Amino acid sequence: MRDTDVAAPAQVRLGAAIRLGASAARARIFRRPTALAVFLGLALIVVATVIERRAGSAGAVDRVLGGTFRLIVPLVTFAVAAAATGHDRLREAVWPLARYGASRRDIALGTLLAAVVASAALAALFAVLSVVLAHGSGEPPLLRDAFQSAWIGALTASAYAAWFSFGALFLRRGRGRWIPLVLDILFGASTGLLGAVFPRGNAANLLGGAAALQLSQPASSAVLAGSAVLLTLFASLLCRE
Amino acid sequence: MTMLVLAQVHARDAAGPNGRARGAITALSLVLGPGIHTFLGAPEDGTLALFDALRGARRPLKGKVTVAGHEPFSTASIRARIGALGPEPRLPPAPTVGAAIRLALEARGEVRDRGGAVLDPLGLSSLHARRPGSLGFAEARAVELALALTTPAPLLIVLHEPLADVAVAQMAAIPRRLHEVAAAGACVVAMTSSPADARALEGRILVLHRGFLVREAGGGGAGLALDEAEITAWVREVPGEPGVRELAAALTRRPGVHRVTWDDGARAGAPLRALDSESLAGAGPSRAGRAGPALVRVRGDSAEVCAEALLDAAVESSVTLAAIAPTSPDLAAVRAATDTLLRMRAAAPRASIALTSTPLPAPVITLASPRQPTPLTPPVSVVEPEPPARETAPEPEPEPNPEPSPEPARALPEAAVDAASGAEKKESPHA
Repeated sequence: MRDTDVAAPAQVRLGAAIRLGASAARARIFRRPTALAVFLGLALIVVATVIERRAGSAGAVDRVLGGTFRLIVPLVTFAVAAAATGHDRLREAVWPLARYGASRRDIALGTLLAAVVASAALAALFAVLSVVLAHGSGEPPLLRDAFQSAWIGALTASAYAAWFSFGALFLRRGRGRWIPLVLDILFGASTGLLGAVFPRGNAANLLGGAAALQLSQPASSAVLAGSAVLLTLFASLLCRE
Repeated sequence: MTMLVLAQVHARDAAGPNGRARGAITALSLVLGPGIHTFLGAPEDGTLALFDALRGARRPLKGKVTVAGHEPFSTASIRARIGALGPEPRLPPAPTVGAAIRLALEARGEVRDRGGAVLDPLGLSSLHARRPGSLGFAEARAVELALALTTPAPLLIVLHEPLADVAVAQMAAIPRRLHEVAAAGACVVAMTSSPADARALEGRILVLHRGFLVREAGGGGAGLALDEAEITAWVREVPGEPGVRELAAALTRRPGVHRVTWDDGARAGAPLRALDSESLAGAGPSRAGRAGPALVRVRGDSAEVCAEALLDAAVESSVTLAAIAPTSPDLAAVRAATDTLLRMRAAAPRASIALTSTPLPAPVITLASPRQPTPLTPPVSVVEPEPPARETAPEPEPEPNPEPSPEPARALPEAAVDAASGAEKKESPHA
């Protein structure tokens, strides 16, 4: 049968398009640069644990977790989010599939979801590793501590990934993703409004640190989850046809 | 059936450094139907801008592009029926070529996996298991071309340089497949900067010039350049017997032949040598042990004159010809011809100099004129050849240069333009 005789295909459905976008993002994430970033993150955690345990086992878990959430989670998530979009603008990143007829919005949603899930999984791994390596006598039970740190890490990384993906809508080659990273580093730890908006302040609150705008821990969790969901949806909507 | 409509489209590409525009199209209005339509021009003439607008990658700055009544930029379902080969390959990200093809097919909405049917027709099956990153530029473009040519129920196939930088062993399969697709009712649009490739596609040739659609070449690319015709002949050389040098010497004595260049193939990449009768008087037998094919190029009044001279000279010098083919002008010659035609049009505003060398056949409906082609006054008509003016008649084949020059056509000096215009008027049956 000649290919030109093939009937006109039906429009690809939302679920299928999201799966396509996620597949493409997964193929971009599972590459050497991302693996290198993850490996560096793991190495930093090990080094930090060794240093903190030498300084004293009391409170070592908190100090290692603080370093992990301040430095490693944002940077590795940044690498993952950038890889998911091929280090390009989000609209350009969805084009290799959208050109074949899938909706840009749906492909973008799949791409962002893949970035969020991958970042959350890696952050949870980092958090668990930090707790397990730095855990000492007099600390809370290991399992409970690891579980709590894991979901805080996953939630924080999801919010970071959403922020970076949203930033990738702007500037050439998606360099707008640097804006939330820089703002988070500069102002995210404050106890003011920006501290309540960006993930850093809310993560610190969930880990037992100072709360921005006197937010409760459930409120910080809601801010992180809300920013992850809303920014992901908003970014994909901005990629619509 | 109308497939593709461009209405006063202004567009530019982003292929320059830092995303700046490399070329643009200005006020392009066009209606194309099924068939093969080749736009001849460089990226600076707007081929890339037109390509991006047609495949829906970039929204036009002004105007509207519609395929079967829908804008490809904003209608995903239309893009599923547009096959495209871009200047830079961008396969869907996947671990293998086969997986990338599966993603593309799924994105098109194809439910059955026919990955093999995509690559096999172009002989690319060996690429199936390769990583996309390991593909060379031409290989990746070949895979994209294979995807474009297997678009289901295609409305539009838009290809940038389909015969260049594609790692397809049987290049003849590409035009053949394009003709099949066009015969099935699709509109095939190709962009190329090679007049030879444009001719090889055997479709209509539309010349883009500095962002404007200025003219259409005749059948087989006739009239692309104003220069006289040129023919290339490959000579079968036998050591100790007359060869390409003797043939060249005989050619210089033929009437209607203006220039003969030859290459005995002794050194690969050796430049062609220009000959005249005197320099060939003492030409000895050809050298044996050639490194490349021996060929001779003949330039003369017309292709027929060149071919006749070539055959006569071959008989006279007892040389066996292996092949003969018309030589395509290069893009510079086409541009020079276009510039010359535009200058003639500007210099003789009352003379109706048709910039389309042949009447526009179906399925093209109109080639609307640009609103204000800035360098020219009055605006150049790119509409179908107008009805004859009162004092002149449109020429089906513009012959603006009454005395063909041995050099490639360049923009004529004012005197030459005037003379050419005068000649144009003198030939008019209404003069």
